Amino acid sequence: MKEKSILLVSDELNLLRTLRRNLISRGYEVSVALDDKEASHFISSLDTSLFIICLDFETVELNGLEIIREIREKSEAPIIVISAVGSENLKIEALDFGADDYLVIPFGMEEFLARVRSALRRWSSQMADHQIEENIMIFGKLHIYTNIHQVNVDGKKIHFTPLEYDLLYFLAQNRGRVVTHRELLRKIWGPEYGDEREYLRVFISQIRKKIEIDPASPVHIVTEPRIGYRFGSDDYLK
Amino acid sequence: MADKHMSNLDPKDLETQLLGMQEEIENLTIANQSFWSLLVNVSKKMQVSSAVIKASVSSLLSNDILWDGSTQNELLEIIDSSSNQLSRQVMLLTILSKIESESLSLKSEPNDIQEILSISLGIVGRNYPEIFSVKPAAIKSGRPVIVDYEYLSIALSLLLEFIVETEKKPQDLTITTIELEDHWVIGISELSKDCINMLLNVFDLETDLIYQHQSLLPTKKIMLYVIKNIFELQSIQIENCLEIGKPTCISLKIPAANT
Repeated sequence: MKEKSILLVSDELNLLRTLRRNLISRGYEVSVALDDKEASHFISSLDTSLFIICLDFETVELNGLEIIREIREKSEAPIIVISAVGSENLKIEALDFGADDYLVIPFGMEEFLARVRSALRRWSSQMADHQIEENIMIFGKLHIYTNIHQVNVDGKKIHFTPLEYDLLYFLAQNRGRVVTHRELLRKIWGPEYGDEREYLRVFISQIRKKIEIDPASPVHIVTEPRIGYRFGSDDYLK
Repeated sequence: MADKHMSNLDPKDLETQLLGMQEEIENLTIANQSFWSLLVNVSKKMQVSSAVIKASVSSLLSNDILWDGSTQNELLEIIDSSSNQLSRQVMLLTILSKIESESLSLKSEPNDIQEILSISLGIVGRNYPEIFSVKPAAIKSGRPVIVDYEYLSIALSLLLEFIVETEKKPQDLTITTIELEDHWVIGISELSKDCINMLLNVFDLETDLIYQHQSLLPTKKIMLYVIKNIFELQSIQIENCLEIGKPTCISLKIPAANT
Protein backbone atom coordinates (compact mmCIF):
# COMPACT_ATOMS: atom_id res chain seq x y z
CA MET A 1 0.00 0.00 0.00
CA LYS A 2 1.46 3.35 -1.06
CA GLU A 3 0.87 5.82 1.73
CA LYS A 4 0.50 8.90 -0.44
CA SER A 5 -1.24 7.63 -3.53
CA ILE A 6 -4.29 9.69 -4.51
CA LEU A 7 -6.89 9.24 -7.28
CA LEU A 8 -8.69 12.39 -8.54
CA VAL A 9 -12.00 11.86 -10.39
CA SER A 10 -13.65 14.72 -12.31
CA ASP A 11 -14.57 15.70 -15.88
CA GLU A 12 -13.41 19.28 -15.29
CA LEU A 13 -9.89 19.43 -16.72
CA ASN A 14 -8.84 22.69 -15.08
CA LEU A 15 -9.95 21.45 -11.67
CA LEU A 16 -7.94 18.27 -12.15
CA ARG A 17 -4.90 20.23 -13.31
CA THR A 18 -4.79 22.64 -10.39
CA LEU A 19 -5.45 19.97 -7.72
CA ARG A 20 -2.96 17.58 -9.31
CA ARG A 21 -0.23 20.21 -9.56
CA ASN A 22 -0.67 21.16 -5.89
CA LEU A 23 -0.67 17.57 -4.68
CA ILE A 24 2.32 16.51 -6.79
CA SER A 25 4.31 19.52 -5.60
CA ARG A 26 3.77 18.36 -2.03
CA GLY A 27 5.05 14.87 -2.69
CA TYR A 28 1.83 12.95 -3.33
CA GLU A 29 1.54 10.41 -6.11
CA VAL A 30 -1.51 11.39 -8.17
CA SER A 31 -3.59 9.60 -10.82
CA VAL A 32 -6.58 11.15 -12.58
CA ALA A 33 -9.77 9.69 -14.01
CA LEU A 34 -12.19 11.63 -16.21
CA ASP A 35 -15.18 9.32 -15.88
CA ASP A 36 -16.55 6.22 -14.19
CA LYS A 37 -14.81 3.79 -16.57
CA GLU A 38 -11.38 5.28 -15.96
CA ALA A 39 -12.09 5.47 -12.23
CA SER A 40 -13.13 1.83 -12.26
CA HIS A 41 -9.88 0.84 -13.96
CA PHE A 42 -7.82 2.64 -11.30
CA ILE A 43 -9.88 1.31 -8.38
CA SER A 44 -9.19 -2.25 -9.52
CA SER A 45 -5.55 -1.80 -10.40
CA LEU A 46 -4.10 0.64 -7.86
CA ASP A 47 -3.40 0.65 -4.16
CA THR A 48 -4.93 4.06 -3.59
CA SER A 49 -4.87 5.57 -0.12
CA LEU A 50 -7.25 8.49 -0.87
CA PHE A 51 -9.99 9.09 -3.44
CA ILE A 52 -11.11 12.63 -4.30
CA ILE A 53 -14.29 12.87 -6.41
CA CYS A 54 -15.99 15.95 -7.83
CA LEU A 55 -19.69 15.05 -8.04
CA ASP A 56 -20.62 17.74 -10.58
CA PHE A 57 -20.24 15.80 -13.82
CA GLU A 58 -21.58 17.65 -16.85
CA THR A 59 -22.76 14.45 -18.53
CA VAL A 60 -26.02 13.32 -16.99
CA GLU A 61 -25.13 9.64 -17.47
CA LEU A 62 -22.29 9.97 -14.95
CA ASN A 63 -23.34 9.63 -11.34
CA GLY A 64 -20.68 10.48 -8.77
CA LEU A 65 -22.56 8.67 -6.02
CA GLU A 66 -22.35 5.42 -7.99
CA ILE A 67 -18.58 5.91 -8.28
CA ILE A 68 -18.43 6.29 -4.47
CA ARG A 69 -20.42 3.08 -4.11
CA GLU A 70 -18.08 1.21 -6.45
CA ILE A 71 -15.00 2.44 -4.58
CA ARG A 72 -16.51 1.42 -1.26
CA GLU A 73 -17.16 -2.09 -2.55
CA LYS A 74 -13.46 -2.51 -3.32
CA SER A 75 -11.56 -0.25 -0.93
CA GLU A 76 -11.77 1.09 2.61
CA ALA A 77 -9.51 4.06 1.84
CA PRO A 78 -10.98 7.49 2.63
CA ILE A 79 -13.08 9.35 0.04
CA ILE A 80 -13.31 13.15 -0.09
CA VAL A 81 -16.22 14.50 -2.12
CA ILE A 82 -16.12 17.92 -3.80
CA SER A 83 -19.29 19.58 -5.09
CA ALA A 84 -20.85 22.91 -5.93
CA VAL A 85 -23.99 21.65 -4.21
CA GLY A 86 -23.90 22.35 -0.50
CA SER A 87 -27.32 20.92 0.35
CA GLU A 88 -27.64 18.84 3.48
CA ASN A 89 -29.46 16.07 1.58
CA LEU A 90 -26.65 15.53 -0.92
CA LYS A 91 -24.05 15.62 1.85
CA ILE A 92 -25.96 12.96 3.78
CA GLU A 93 -26.44 10.89 0.63
CA ALA A 94 -22.72 11.02 -0.21
CA LEU A 95 -21.75 10.10 3.35
CA ASP A 96 -24.31 7.27 3.34
CA PHE A 97 -22.78 5.94 0.13
CA GLY A 98 -19.43 5.76 1.93
CA ALA A 99 -17.72 9.16 1.54
CA ASP A 100 -15.68 10.35 4.51
CA ASP A 101 -15.63 14.08 3.97
CA TYR A 102 -17.47 16.67 1.87
CA LEU A 103 -15.93 19.89 0.62
CA VAL A 104 -18.20 22.55 -0.87
CA ILE A 105 -16.93 24.62 -3.81
CA PRO A 106 -15.34 27.18 -3.74
CA PHE A 107 -12.49 26.37 -1.36
CA GLY A 108 -9.00 27.70 -0.77
CA MET A 109 -6.06 25.40 -1.50
CA GLU A 110 -4.99 25.49 2.17
CA GLU A 111 -8.35 24.09 3.25
CA PHE A 112 -8.26 21.41 0.56
CA LEU A 113 -4.74 20.33 1.52
CA ALA A 114 -5.66 20.26 5.21
CA ARG A 115 -8.57 17.90 4.43
CA VAL A 116 -6.23 15.68 2.40
CA ARG A 117 -3.68 15.54 5.23
CA SER A 118 -6.38 14.80 7.76
CA ALA A 119 -7.88 11.96 5.66
CA LEU A 120 -4.47 10.39 5.04
CA ARG A 121 -3.52 10.72 8.72
CA ARG A 122 -6.69 8.88 9.74
CA TRP A 123 -6.07 6.24 7.11
CA SER A 124 -2.50 5.54 8.16
CA SER A 125 -3.49 5.51 11.85
CA GLN A 126 -6.23 3.00 11.00
CA MET A 127 -3.80 0.83 9.03
CA ALA A 128 -1.23 0.96 11.84
CA ASP A 129 -3.81 0.03 14.48
CA HIS A 130 -4.90 -2.96 12.47
CA GLN A 131 -1.34 -4.19 12.27
CA ILE A 132 -0.31 -3.57 15.90
CA GLU A 133 -3.27 -4.73 17.94
CA GLU A 134 -6.53 -6.18 16.78
CA ASN A 135 -8.10 -6.76 20.19
CA ILE A 136 -7.74 -3.38 21.81
CA MET A 137 -8.63 0.12 20.58
CA ILE A 138 -6.88 2.90 22.46
CA PHE A 139 -8.04 6.53 22.42
CA GLY A 140 -6.13 8.33 25.16
CA LYS A 141 -7.59 7.08 28.47
CA LEU A 142 -10.44 5.29 26.71
CA HIS A 143 -9.67 1.63 25.96
CA ILE A 144 -12.08 -0.67 24.13
CA TYR A 145 -11.35 -4.42 24.48
CA THR A 146 -13.07 -5.79 21.43
CA ASN A 147 -12.57 -9.51 22.18
CA ILE A 148 -14.38 -9.31 25.55
CA HIS A 149 -16.67 -6.31 24.79
CA GLN A 150 -15.27 -4.31 27.68
CA VAL A 151 -14.70 -0.57 28.00
CA ASN A 152 -12.20 0.97 30.41
CA VAL A 153 -11.75 4.67 31.16
CA ASP A 154 -8.59 5.72 32.98
CA GLY A 155 -8.01 2.06 33.93
CA LYS A 156 -11.49 1.55 35.42
CA LYS A 157 -14.00 -0.87 33.89
CA ILE A 158 -17.20 0.91 32.86
CA HIS A 159 -20.54 -0.86 32.55
CA PHE A 160 -21.94 -0.73 29.02
CA THR A 161 -25.22 -2.26 27.83
CA PRO A 162 -24.79 -4.39 24.64
CA LEU A 163 -26.47 -1.69 22.55
CA GLU A 164 -24.32 1.09 24.01
CA TYR A 165 -21.23 -1.03 23.37
CA ASP A 166 -22.25 -1.73 19.74
CA LEU A 167 -22.83 1.97 19.14
CA LEU A 168 -19.50 3.00 20.65
CA TYR A 169 -17.63 0.21 18.86
CA PHE A 170 -19.12 1.06 15.46
CA LEU A 171 -18.25 4.76 15.86
CA ALA A 172 -14.72 3.88 17.02
CA GLN A 173 -14.24 1.55 14.04
CA ASN A 174 -15.08 4.49 11.78
CA ARG A 175 -13.04 7.04 13.68
CA GLY A 176 -12.50 10.33 11.93
CA ARG A 177 -15.36 9.70 9.52
CA VAL A 178 -18.77 11.35 9.78
CA VAL A 179 -21.31 8.57 10.31
CA THR A 180 -24.82 9.69 9.40
CA HIS A 181 -27.83 9.22 11.69
CA ARG A 182 -29.36 6.85 9.16
CA GLU A 183 -26.26 4.70 8.84
CA LEU A 184 -25.94 4.36 12.61
CA LEU A 185 -29.60 3.51 13.09
CA ARG A 186 -29.56 0.90 10.34
CA LYS A 187 -26.31 -0.64 11.51
CA ILE A 188 -27.17 -0.85 15.22
CA TRP A 189 -30.96 -1.09 15.31
CA GLY A 190 -31.57 -2.73 11.94
CA PRO A 191 -32.32 -1.96 8.27
CA GLU A 192 -35.92 -0.91 8.95
CA TYR A 193 -34.71 2.04 11.05
CA GLY A 194 -33.49 5.36 9.69
CA ASP A 195 -35.53 8.30 10.97
CA GLU A 196 -35.46 7.68 14.74
CA ARG A 197 -32.84 10.31 15.58
CA GLU A 198 -34.16 10.67 19.13
CA TYR A 199 -32.87 7.13 19.90
CA LEU A 200 -29.40 8.29 19.03
CA ARG A 201 -29.63 11.46 21.09
CA VAL A 202 -30.56 9.39 24.16
CA PHE A 203 -27.90 6.69 23.72
CA ILE A 204 -25.09 9.04 22.68
CA SER A 205 -25.84 11.20 25.73
CA GLN A 206 -25.59 8.11 27.99
CA ILE A 207 -22.33 7.00 26.39
CA ARG A 208 -20.84 10.48 26.70
CA LYS A 209 -21.61 10.52 30.42
CA LYS A 210 -19.59 7.31 30.73
CA ILE A 211 -16.54 8.12 28.59
CA GLU A 212 -16.15 11.89 28.35
CA ILE A 213 -14.44 14.02 31.01
CA ASP A 214 -16.87 16.83 30.18
CA PRO A 215 -19.96 15.41 28.36
CA ALA A 216 -21.00 18.94 27.38
CA SER A 217 -17.74 19.38 25.42
CA PRO A 218 -17.09 15.88 24.08
CA VAL A 219 -13.77 14.91 22.52
CA HIS A 220 -14.55 11.29 21.65
CA ILE A 221 -18.03 11.49 20.08
CA VAL A 222 -18.44 14.80 18.27
CA THR A 223 -21.81 15.92 16.88
CA GLU A 224 -21.90 16.87 13.20
CA PRO A 225 -24.99 19.12 13.29
CA ARG A 226 -27.99 17.73 11.36
CA ILE A 227 -25.83 15.00 9.78
CA GLY A 228 -24.55 12.54 12.37
CA TYR A 229 -21.57 11.86 14.62
CA ARG A 230 -17.82 11.65 14.18
CA PHE A 231 -15.58 9.66 16.55
CA GLY A 232 -12.59 11.81 17.52
CA SER A 233 -11.98 15.39 16.44
CA ASP A 234 -9.02 16.12 14.17
CA ASP A 235 -7.03 17.52 17.14
CA TYR A 236 -7.65 14.36 19.09
CA LEU A 237 -6.40 12.19 16.23
CA LYS A 238 -3.10 13.99 15.79
CA MET B 1 -75.74 32.15 -21.20
CA ALA B 2 -72.57 30.17 -20.70
CA ASP B 3 -74.57 26.99 -20.03
CA LYS B 4 -76.53 27.56 -23.23
CA HIS B 5 -73.31 28.02 -25.15
CA MET B 6 -71.76 24.90 -23.60
CA SER B 7 -74.83 22.81 -24.37
CA ASN B 8 -74.37 23.52 -28.09
CA LEU B 9 -70.91 21.91 -28.11
CA ASP B 10 -70.43 18.29 -28.97
CA PRO B 11 -69.06 16.44 -25.88
CA LYS B 12 -66.69 14.49 -28.13
CA ASP B 13 -65.22 17.74 -29.49
CA LEU B 14 -64.84 19.03 -25.97
CA GLU B 15 -63.05 15.87 -24.89
CA THR B 16 -60.69 16.08 -27.89
CA GLN B 17 -59.96 19.73 -27.11
CA LEU B 18 -59.34 18.89 -23.47
CA LEU B 19 -56.96 16.07 -24.34
CA GLY B 20 -55.10 18.38 -26.73
CA MET B 21 -54.75 21.01 -24.02
CA GLN B 22 -53.57 18.42 -21.49
CA GLU B 23 -50.91 17.23 -23.93
CA GLU B 24 -49.83 20.81 -24.56
CA ILE B 25 -49.56 21.45 -20.82
CA GLU B 26 -47.48 18.29 -20.38
CA ASN B 27 -45.15 19.33 -23.20
CA LEU B 28 -44.78 22.82 -21.75
CA THR B 29 -44.09 21.37 -18.31
CA ILE B 30 -41.37 19.10 -19.74
CA ALA B 31 -39.84 22.01 -21.70
CA ASN B 32 -39.92 24.18 -18.57
CA GLN B 33 -38.29 21.48 -16.44
CA SER B 34 -35.62 20.88 -19.10
CA PHE B 35 -34.89 24.60 -19.25
CA TRP B 36 -34.45 24.95 -15.48
CA SER B 37 -32.40 21.78 -15.18
CA LEU B 38 -30.19 23.14 -17.96
CA LEU B 39 -29.68 26.35 -15.98
CA VAL B 40 -28.84 24.37 -12.84
CA ASN B 41 -26.21 22.37 -14.75
CA VAL B 42 -24.66 25.44 -16.31
CA SER B 43 -24.57 27.29 -13.00
CA LYS B 44 -22.79 24.30 -11.40
CA LYS B 45 -20.28 24.41 -14.25
CA MET B 46 -19.76 28.12 -13.58
CA GLN B 47 -19.26 27.46 -9.87
CA VAL B 48 -16.62 24.85 -10.68
CA SER B 49 -14.79 27.31 -12.98
CA SER B 50 -14.81 30.01 -10.31
CA ALA B 51 -13.63 27.44 -7.74
CA VAL B 52 -10.71 26.53 -10.00
CA ILE B 53 -9.74 30.21 -10.18
CA LYS B 54 -9.93 30.55 -6.39
CA ALA B 55 -7.98 27.32 -5.82
CA SER B 56 -5.27 28.32 -8.30
CA VAL B 57 -4.94 31.85 -6.95
CA SER B 58 -4.71 30.57 -3.38
CA SER B 59 -2.04 28.10 -4.56
CA LEU B 60 0.03 30.94 -5.97
CA LEU B 61 -0.39 32.88 -2.73
CA SER B 62 0.46 29.98 -0.43
CA ASN B 63 3.54 30.38 1.74
CA ASP B 64 4.49 26.75 2.27
CA ILE B 65 5.90 26.19 -1.20
CA LEU B 66 8.12 28.08 -3.65
CA TRP B 67 6.73 27.57 -7.15
CA ASP B 68 9.16 27.37 -10.05
CA GLY B 69 8.56 29.47 -13.17
CA SER B 70 6.91 26.75 -15.26
CA THR B 71 4.49 25.75 -12.49
CA GLN B 72 3.59 29.40 -11.95
CA ASN B 73 2.88 29.67 -15.67
CA GLU B 74 0.79 26.53 -15.59
CA LEU B 75 -1.33 27.87 -12.70
CA LEU B 76 -1.73 31.23 -14.44
CA GLU B 77 -2.73 29.46 -17.65
CA ILE B 78 -5.37 27.47 -15.68
CA ILE B 79 -6.72 30.74 -14.23
CA ASP B 80 -6.82 32.27 -17.72
CA SER B 81 -8.60 29.29 -19.24
CA SER B 82 -11.14 29.04 -16.38
CA SER B 83 -11.92 32.75 -16.50
CA ASN B 84 -12.47 32.46 -20.28
CA GLN B 85 -14.88 29.59 -19.66
CA LEU B 86 -16.66 31.62 -17.00
CA SER B 87 -16.97 34.71 -19.22
CA ARG B 88 -18.37 32.61 -22.03
CA GLN B 89 -21.03 31.09 -19.74
CA VAL B 90 -21.98 34.51 -18.41
CA MET B 91 -22.26 35.87 -21.96
CA LEU B 92 -24.38 32.90 -23.06
CA LEU B 93 -26.71 33.22 -20.08
CA THR B 94 -27.08 36.96 -20.71
CA ILE B 95 -28.05 36.42 -24.35
CA LEU B 96 -30.29 33.49 -23.37
CA SER B 97 -32.19 35.68 -20.88
CA LYS B 98 -32.63 38.34 -23.56
CA ILE B 99 -33.96 35.74 -26.00
CA GLU B 100 -36.33 34.26 -23.41
CA SER B 101 -37.63 37.70 -22.38
CA GLU B 102 -37.92 38.67 -26.06
CA SER B 103 -35.71 41.67 -25.46
CA LEU B 104 -32.85 40.72 -27.77
CA SER B 105 -32.84 43.47 -30.36
CA LEU B 106 -30.47 43.17 -33.27
CA LYS B 107 -29.32 46.16 -35.24
CA SER B 108 -29.20 44.86 -38.80
CA GLU B 109 -27.21 47.17 -41.04
CA PRO B 110 -24.72 46.88 -43.91
CA ASN B 111 -21.47 45.26 -42.76
CA ASP B 112 -18.40 43.67 -44.31
CA ILE B 113 -18.67 39.87 -43.93
CA GLN B 114 -14.89 39.39 -44.30
CA GLU B 115 -14.28 41.68 -41.34
CA ILE B 116 -16.85 39.91 -39.15
CA LEU B 117 -15.42 36.53 -40.09
CA SER B 118 -11.86 37.53 -39.29
CA ILE B 119 -12.97 38.94 -35.91
CA SER B 120 -14.66 35.61 -35.11
CA LEU B 121 -11.68 33.57 -36.27
CA GLY B 122 -9.43 35.74 -34.12
CA ILE B 123 -11.55 35.05 -31.01
CA VAL B 124 -11.49 31.28 -31.61
CA GLY B 125 -7.76 31.37 -32.38
CA ARG B 126 -7.06 33.13 -29.07
CA ASN B 127 -9.21 30.64 -27.11
CA TYR B 128 -7.71 27.59 -28.84
CA PRO B 129 -4.19 28.70 -29.81
CA GLU B 130 -2.76 25.19 -30.14
CA ILE B 131 -5.44 23.66 -32.34
CA PHE B 132 -7.04 26.46 -34.30
CA SER B 133 -5.29 28.83 -36.66
CA VAL B 134 -7.65 28.97 -39.64
CA LYS B 135 -7.62 32.04 -41.82
CA PRO B 136 -10.24 32.65 -44.52
CA ALA B 137 -9.04 32.73 -48.10
CA ALA B 138 -8.34 36.35 -48.98
CA ILE B 139 -11.21 37.64 -51.09
CA LYS B 140 -11.96 41.20 -52.02
CA SER B 141 -14.98 42.45 -50.17
CA GLY B 142 -18.07 42.73 -52.33
CA ARG B 143 -21.55 43.81 -51.38
CA PRO B 144 -22.18 44.25 -47.67
CA VAL B 145 -24.33 41.82 -45.69
CA ILE B 146 -27.30 43.05 -43.66
CA VAL B 147 -26.53 41.84 -40.15
CA ASP B 148 -25.84 42.94 -36.58
CA TYR B 149 -22.05 43.16 -36.40
CA GLU B 150 -21.69 42.28 -32.70
CA TYR B 151 -24.16 39.41 -32.52
CA LEU B 152 -23.10 37.79 -35.80
CA SER B 153 -19.46 37.84 -34.60
CA ILE B 154 -20.59 36.18 -31.36
CA ALA B 155 -22.71 33.55 -33.15
CA LEU B 156 -19.95 32.73 -35.67
CA SER B 157 -17.27 32.39 -33.00
CA LEU B 158 -19.60 30.22 -30.88
CA LEU B 159 -20.33 28.01 -33.88
CA LEU B 160 -16.61 27.62 -34.65
CA GLU B 161 -15.85 26.90 -30.98
CA PHE B 162 -18.59 24.27 -30.94
CA ILE B 163 -16.98 22.66 -33.99
CA VAL B 164 -13.46 22.86 -32.52
CA GLU B 165 -14.67 21.25 -29.28
CA THR B 166 -16.61 18.53 -31.14
CA GLU B 167 -14.24 17.61 -33.95
CA LYS B 168 -11.37 15.17 -33.47
CA LYS B 169 -9.16 17.01 -35.99
CA PRO B 170 -10.12 20.70 -35.79
CA GLN B 171 -6.77 21.70 -37.29
CA ASP B 172 -7.97 20.35 -40.66
CA LEU B 173 -10.88 22.80 -40.93
CA THR B 174 -11.02 25.18 -43.89
CA ILE B 175 -13.25 28.20 -44.25
CA THR B 176 -14.23 29.93 -47.48
CA THR B 177 -16.52 32.81 -48.43
CA ILE B 178 -18.37 33.16 -51.74
CA GLU B 179 -20.53 36.02 -52.94
CA LEU B 180 -23.65 34.92 -54.81
CA GLU B 181 -26.55 36.80 -56.41
CA ASP B 182 -28.47 37.83 -53.29
CA HIS B 183 -26.39 36.44 -50.44
CA TRP B 184 -22.97 35.52 -49.17
CA VAL B 185 -22.02 31.94 -48.33
CA ILE B 186 -19.56 30.98 -45.62
CA GLY B 187 -18.44 27.39 -46.18
CA ILE B 188 -16.92 25.38 -43.34
CA SER B 189 -15.22 22.25 -44.72
CA GLU B 190 -13.46 19.08 -43.55
CA LEU B 191 -16.08 18.39 -40.91
CA SER B 192 -16.91 14.89 -39.72
CA LYS B 193 -20.24 13.31 -40.61
CA ASP B 194 -21.19 13.22 -36.91
CA CYS B 195 -20.59 16.93 -36.47
CA ILE B 196 -22.57 17.84 -39.62
CA ASN B 197 -25.48 15.59 -38.61
CA MET B 198 -25.50 17.02 -35.10
CA LEU B 199 -25.57 20.62 -36.35
CA LEU B 200 -28.20 20.03 -39.02
CA ASN B 201 -30.33 18.02 -36.62
CA VAL B 202 -30.22 20.72 -33.93
CA PHE B 203 -30.86 23.56 -36.39
CA ASP B 204 -33.86 21.63 -37.69
CA LEU B 205 -35.45 21.36 -34.24
CA GLU B 206 -37.98 23.70 -32.68
CA THR B 207 -35.84 25.95 -30.47
CA ASP B 208 -37.47 24.74 -27.22
CA LEU B 209 -36.58 21.14 -28.10
CA ILE B 210 -32.85 21.93 -28.07
CA TYR B 211 -33.13 22.02 -24.24
CA GLN B 212 -34.32 18.41 -24.30
CA HIS B 213 -31.69 17.10 -26.72
CA GLN B 214 -30.32 13.86 -25.26
CA SER B 215 -26.81 13.70 -26.68
CA LEU B 216 -25.67 17.27 -25.99
CA LEU B 217 -23.96 18.54 -22.87
CA PRO B 218 -25.82 21.40 -21.09
CA THR B 219 -23.28 24.06 -22.06
CA LYS B 220 -23.41 22.92 -25.70
CA LYS B 221 -27.22 23.10 -25.70
CA ILE B 222 -27.09 26.73 -24.64
CA MET B 223 -24.41 27.51 -27.25
CA LEU B 224 -26.49 26.03 -30.07
CA TYR B 225 -29.70 27.59 -28.79
CA VAL B 226 -28.09 31.04 -28.83
CA ILE B 227 -26.49 30.52 -32.27
CA LYS B 228 -29.75 29.27 -33.77
CA ASN B 229 -31.72 32.23 -32.42
CA ILE B 230 -29.20 34.81 -33.61
CA PHE B 231 -29.10 33.21 -37.06
CA GLU B 232 -32.89 33.04 -37.29
CA LEU B 233 -33.32 36.67 -36.27
CA GLN B 234 -31.03 37.64 -39.16
CA SER B 235 -32.52 35.18 -41.70
CA ILE B 236 -29.26 33.23 -41.89
CA GLN B 237 -29.68 29.64 -43.04
CA ILE B 238 -27.42 26.71 -42.29
CA GLU B 239 -27.34 23.96 -44.92
CA ASN B 240 -25.29 20.93 -45.88
CA CYS B 241 -23.34 20.94 -49.13
CA LEU B 242 -24.29 17.45 -50.31
CA GLU B 243 -26.05 18.86 -53.36
CA ILE B 244 -22.86 20.49 -54.57
CA GLY B 245 -20.86 17.32 -53.94
CA LYS B 246 -19.15 18.36 -50.71
CA PRO B 247 -20.27 15.92 -48.02
CA THR B 248 -17.81 17.25 -45.42
CA CYS B 249 -19.03 20.83 -45.60
CA ILE B 250 -21.79 23.01 -44.19
CA SER B 251 -22.68 26.45 -45.47
CA LEU B 252 -24.16 29.58 -43.95
CA LYS B 253 -26.28 31.69 -46.29
CA ILE B 254 -26.20 35.32 -45.20
CA PRO B 255 -28.48 37.88 -46.90
CA ALA B 256 -26.62 40.57 -48.84
CA ALA B 257 -27.69 44.18 -49.37
CA ASN B 258 -29.50 44.97 -52.61
CA THR B 259 -27.34 46.88 -55.01
